[in-house]
Amino acid sequence: MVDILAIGSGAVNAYRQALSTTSNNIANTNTPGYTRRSLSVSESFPVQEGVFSFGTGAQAQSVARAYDEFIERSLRDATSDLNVNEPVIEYANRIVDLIATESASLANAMDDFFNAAEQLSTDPRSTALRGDFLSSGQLIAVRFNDLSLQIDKIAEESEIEFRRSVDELNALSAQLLTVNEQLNRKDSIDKQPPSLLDQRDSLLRDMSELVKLGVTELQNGQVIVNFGGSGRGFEIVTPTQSRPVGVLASGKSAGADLRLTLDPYGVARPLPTTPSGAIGGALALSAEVLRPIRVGLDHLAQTFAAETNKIHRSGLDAKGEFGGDLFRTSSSFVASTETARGAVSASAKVIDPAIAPTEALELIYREGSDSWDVLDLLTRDRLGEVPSGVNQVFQGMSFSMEGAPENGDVVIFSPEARPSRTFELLVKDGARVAVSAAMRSAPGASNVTSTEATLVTIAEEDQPKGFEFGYALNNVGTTTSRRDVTISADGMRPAVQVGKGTEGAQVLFDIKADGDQQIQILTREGVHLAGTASISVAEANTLMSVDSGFGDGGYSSAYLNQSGSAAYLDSGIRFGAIGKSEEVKQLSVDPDTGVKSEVTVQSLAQFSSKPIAPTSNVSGAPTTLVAAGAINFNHTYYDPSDAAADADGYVQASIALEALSLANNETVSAAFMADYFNDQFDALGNANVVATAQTKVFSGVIDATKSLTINGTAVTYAANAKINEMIQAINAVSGQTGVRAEWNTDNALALTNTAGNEGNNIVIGGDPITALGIVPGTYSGTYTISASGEEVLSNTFASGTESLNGGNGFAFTLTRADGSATTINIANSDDTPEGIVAAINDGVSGIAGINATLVADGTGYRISLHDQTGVGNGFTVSTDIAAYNLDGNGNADIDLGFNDLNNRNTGLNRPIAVSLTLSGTGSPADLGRLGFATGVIFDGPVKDDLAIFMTGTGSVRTTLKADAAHAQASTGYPADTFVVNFTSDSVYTITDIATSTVVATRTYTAGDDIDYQGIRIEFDDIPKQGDSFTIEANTDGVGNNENMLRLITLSKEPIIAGQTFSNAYRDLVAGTGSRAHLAELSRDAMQVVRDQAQASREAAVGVNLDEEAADLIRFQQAYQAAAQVIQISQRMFDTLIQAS
Amino acid sequence: MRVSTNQFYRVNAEQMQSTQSKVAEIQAKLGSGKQMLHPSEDPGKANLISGLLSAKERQEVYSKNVDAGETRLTAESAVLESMTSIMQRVNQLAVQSSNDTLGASDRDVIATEIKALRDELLNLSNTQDLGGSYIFSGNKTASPAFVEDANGVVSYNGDYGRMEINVSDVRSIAINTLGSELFSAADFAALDDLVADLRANNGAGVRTRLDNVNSINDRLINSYGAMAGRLAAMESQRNVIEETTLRIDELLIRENDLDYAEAVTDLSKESVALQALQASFAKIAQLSLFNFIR
Repeated sequence: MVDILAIGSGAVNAYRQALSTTSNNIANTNTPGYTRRSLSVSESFPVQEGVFSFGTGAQAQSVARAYDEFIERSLRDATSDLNVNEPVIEYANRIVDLIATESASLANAMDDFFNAAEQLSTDPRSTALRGDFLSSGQLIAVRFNDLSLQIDKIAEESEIEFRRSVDELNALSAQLLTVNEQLNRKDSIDKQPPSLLDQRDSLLRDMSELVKLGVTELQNGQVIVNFGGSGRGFEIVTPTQSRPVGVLASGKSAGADLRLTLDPYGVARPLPTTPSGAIGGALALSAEVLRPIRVGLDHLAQTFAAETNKIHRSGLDAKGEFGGDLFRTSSSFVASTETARGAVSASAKVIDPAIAPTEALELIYREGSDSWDVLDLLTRDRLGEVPSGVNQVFQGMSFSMEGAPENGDVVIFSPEARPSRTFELLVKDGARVAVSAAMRSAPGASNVTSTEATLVTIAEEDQPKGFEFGYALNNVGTTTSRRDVTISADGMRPAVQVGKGTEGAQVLFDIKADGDQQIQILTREGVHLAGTASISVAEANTLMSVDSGFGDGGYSSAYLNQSGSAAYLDSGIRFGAIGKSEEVKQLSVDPDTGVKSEVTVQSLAQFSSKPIAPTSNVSGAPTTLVAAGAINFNHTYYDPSDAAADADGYVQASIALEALSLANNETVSAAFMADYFNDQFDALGNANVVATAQTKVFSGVIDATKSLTINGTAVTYAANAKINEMIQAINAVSGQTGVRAEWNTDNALALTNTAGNEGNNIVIGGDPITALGIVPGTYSGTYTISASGEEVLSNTFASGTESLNGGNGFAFTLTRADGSATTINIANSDDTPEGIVAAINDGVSGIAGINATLVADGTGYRISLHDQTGVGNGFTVSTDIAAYNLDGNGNADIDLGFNDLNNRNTGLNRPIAVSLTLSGTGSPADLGRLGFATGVIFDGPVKDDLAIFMTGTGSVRTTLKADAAHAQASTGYPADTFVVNFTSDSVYTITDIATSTVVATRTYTAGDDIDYQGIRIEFDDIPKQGDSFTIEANTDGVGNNENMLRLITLSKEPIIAGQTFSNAYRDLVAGTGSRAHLAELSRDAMQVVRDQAQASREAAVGVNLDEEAADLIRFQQAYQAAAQVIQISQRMFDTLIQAS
Repeated sequence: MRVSTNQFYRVNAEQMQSTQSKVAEIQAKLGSGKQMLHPSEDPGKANLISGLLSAKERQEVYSKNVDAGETRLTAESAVLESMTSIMQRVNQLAVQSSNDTLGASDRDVIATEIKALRDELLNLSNTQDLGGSYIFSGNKTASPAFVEDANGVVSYNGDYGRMEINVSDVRSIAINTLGSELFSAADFAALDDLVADLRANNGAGVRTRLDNVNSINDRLINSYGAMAGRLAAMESQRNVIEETTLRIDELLIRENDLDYAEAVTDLSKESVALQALQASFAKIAQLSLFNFIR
């Protein structure tokens, strides 16, 4: 039966609960994260009474939580997408406000700089304007430094905020894990406490402000959270754990190259770079705002400094000196090898700040090529690769990557000093500002027209590029020498190109005895400087026809094979072989102390032949190998007293060599050559020049089972003879063979000529492979031509027989520089110059290594002493002579004048160089027959860009060499002074003033400009025959403003990506501004989406007080009604009691 | 749609805030008189203004350059005028003395005057400007244009450098006259010869010098003409610069300065909106069912 009381009490209970739920809603109206709850009430189970079913009232089922997963998710996503914009907007706008404000703008500073230059150009001599110009330069430096600093500060703030966001995310993850763990107690979401779920959703909403989340809800309300959105696999919270997110930043600059990594202390994984939310916003800020502005600013600083410096360096300052660099930027990188597994040591230097990268680099080791891939750390662009090793140059940087890296090892280079931060003004003195141009033009005094010439510097990129073909030889770069290059004779293209200013240039063409190759050397303007054979104009034009490096100049042979002041730019070129006496540094070790020291010694002037081809003459008649006069021998030595000496005191003695002929049945050998040369040297009248020959044959593997004959004499030895026995066996027959054997350091033994037989050919015979491991045949030697002998002179004696000591003998002591002394005794009555000479030269009792001669000098004779033991071995002389040349105090002149500085021309007769050169009639093959390669001999540095051609057939092995790279490469500007002469209306010549050399002859088309040496000459009218223009150094043109005018043009030129400097800067402003603007647009759009999502959520879960008030009334009324039911039931019960 | 109480308050607060900030911004603009308070409001416009300001400054520099050029050319003009009048006097004296009716003593007097005039010409050709630079020496402004050696032989000592200054982005004008354009060494020699002939009472010699004197005169007049042409060019360039500056100013006003009428209208519009918002919020916020539960 239906229990009305139960129904009533049940209803009262239910509505009391409903009222309490509503009250709770009202109470939590302002509680963040609270979701509206409602009591769900349902009918109790009915009872059956007869055929009727009666309800048993109502009861509360559950407290339902208003929740819509879809709405929650869209709100979270909208929040993330809204928040991603905030950091970009805030910081990009701050940067724009910073860099675009008039008082901080670089565009203004650069405009000021060029304006100051404009003003200075109106009065180059004004000290005040020079000062203003420098102040404006200083302002640019300050602005660059300041902007860089301020941007770093902004970046620093943004990085702090970013790190705080990441920390917050990690904290929220940890809290969410706790919630997850509590949710684990129930198996269904319906049973979960609503407040716990509210807390869960609240945490998720907070996290979504930081980063976009991918949330998967499990049956019991636990969540799995993915970083950066769903489906990307980066779980930061699971039901059982939370994983922290770590921050990676490279190097010294704040906010640069920010990256995220998941679980940095566990299995680290890089996280996506666009995770949205505030964290994503910070990453976007770093990559899309901070980096471009830094790169842009640094690039601007580098380019501005480089371009202004280039112009400033080419001008003259108030003191008439070249301007130096106006600005300087520097940059440096620090290496981080932390992540590399192998032992790596890495460093990098910036060598050219103008082109070096400014952003962090990642180098990844590739084992296969033993090199490192270079990547931009952030953009992942591959920039190139650097080999392992020291000082590998790449993009203006020098990398040193050493150690034992493993494949895939990573080294990160982060910028430390940045160009914009280090930008500084170098010139502090106004007088050092280079306002004037380096060159000026002056019309000739007798010009027929009044044409004025203006000079313009040709931009580097517009200047001629040089020769296309041929091996380049210069002092630039790392390869200044090449050995054994095989060059084909090609009458069309240069075989070798030598750059202007190259020092120590050597080109050796190994042209053989039967070679037909000839060498020709031309300048770019077609001036024929040297050649081993005469060529026609047509042939010369053919040589110049292919290579586009030749200029407009017509062929000229005016300077062909000239020397001295008649030569092109006073610098002759010869062909042949040369040996120079040079200072060489040697390491010497003190035998007592072991201390090493470097000593400078003078090397002998000498050169050696290659092994001579043992040509035999079997023609039945003598043959001429080299015609008379084909080759000259030259000996240069120091003797300022010689009438033939040049201004510096050097004498060049030259002889034309007589014919070299080979008698019938004779064979050429080194000894034959040395004899020939020594005969020739007699004509030189200089005992110090000698040719010596030597033949040396090195054995291979000794095999005593084979036979051996030397020069026709059989050598006998046991079949098991060792090397030492073999040496003994060979030396046993030295008497017959004229050949002896000796130990050779490593590979067995060497055969040489015995004394008296030097340079003779050695004929080896025997088995096809002889006992010495070499094939039978005639082995020839080499010969060396050397000059020695420094001369020291005595006083002048009246005659050769003058008695110097009253007929008494005396002791004569010669002390060498090393302290060793030799004393000889001059016998009584031998106290004459002749007697002294004979005593010194005496083979037994004389002084070894010293050659004395009596030389006529003016009215008398002097004793000349030559030290033949080497050049530069100075010595002094002393005697105990008593009667010679007494002074006022009765003291004798005991050194006979040998030590007097007046007599002693230090270095007199010292050989400087010996050479064999081709005369006009000789050819390279003649040198080949003498055993020499044909070298191109330059007097000093190479004066112009030269093309060396080789004509003929076949190919030739060539050696190229120049001095090692210099700090400064030769520059084309400022040019040497020159004159342009119009020899007719249509032809002009260019003449170098210093040497009176016509360096170019060109045709002129009326109205054209003239380009030479990086200078363009522009005429305001048409010059005519007889006009000339001198282009000279602008030494005293202090009122000249042309360099400033050039500098000013920089302000108008599109230098950076087609923009002027100040507009390039404004582009940085615009770029940053437009990124911020984009973010603002996106924010405005997302704001609407977020507001809608929020409204939807509020509509679904928010508490409306009016609604709750209505509920309150409703539930209260229901509660009152239910109470009435109880009262009715009470009354019914009372009625029943009273009735009974 | 269901509006939660929270939502109601939040939306109202946000709207009020945004309207208030708009009012504050307009007010700040009215205070500064600029269209923009910060470059970040419109970086494109900020760049435009920066470019215009820089162009204006550039015009100011050109204007200063024109000033400097005019000062210089005016100085030259004064010297050239003196030279011309001196040469006219020389010409007059030469013509006068070519007449053989003049006696030796008369010619001697004239010779003395011409010698003095010739010296004056030499002095004038070595005129220095205020900064001490010789104005006719080309670019060798630290050295006199003409030097006289111990024998009285005069030679040109300057170089041939034209001093050009920029007076617009594309135009430059030379501001110096070269000494070599005015006189050659032969001119001074001719005057010296004239003086010598007069002293020697050599009437025939004097007559042969008349051509020389005329040619010097012609050259001076030509140089004066060239110089005057440059001065005129400076003057016309000044007008161009002024016009350009005016045009830039107009653009700057348009881009930079605040339109007060528009701003004031905006201000009152936003103020009204704010008032309405406040009033309505106050009213609506009072509406609550709880007010009726007694």
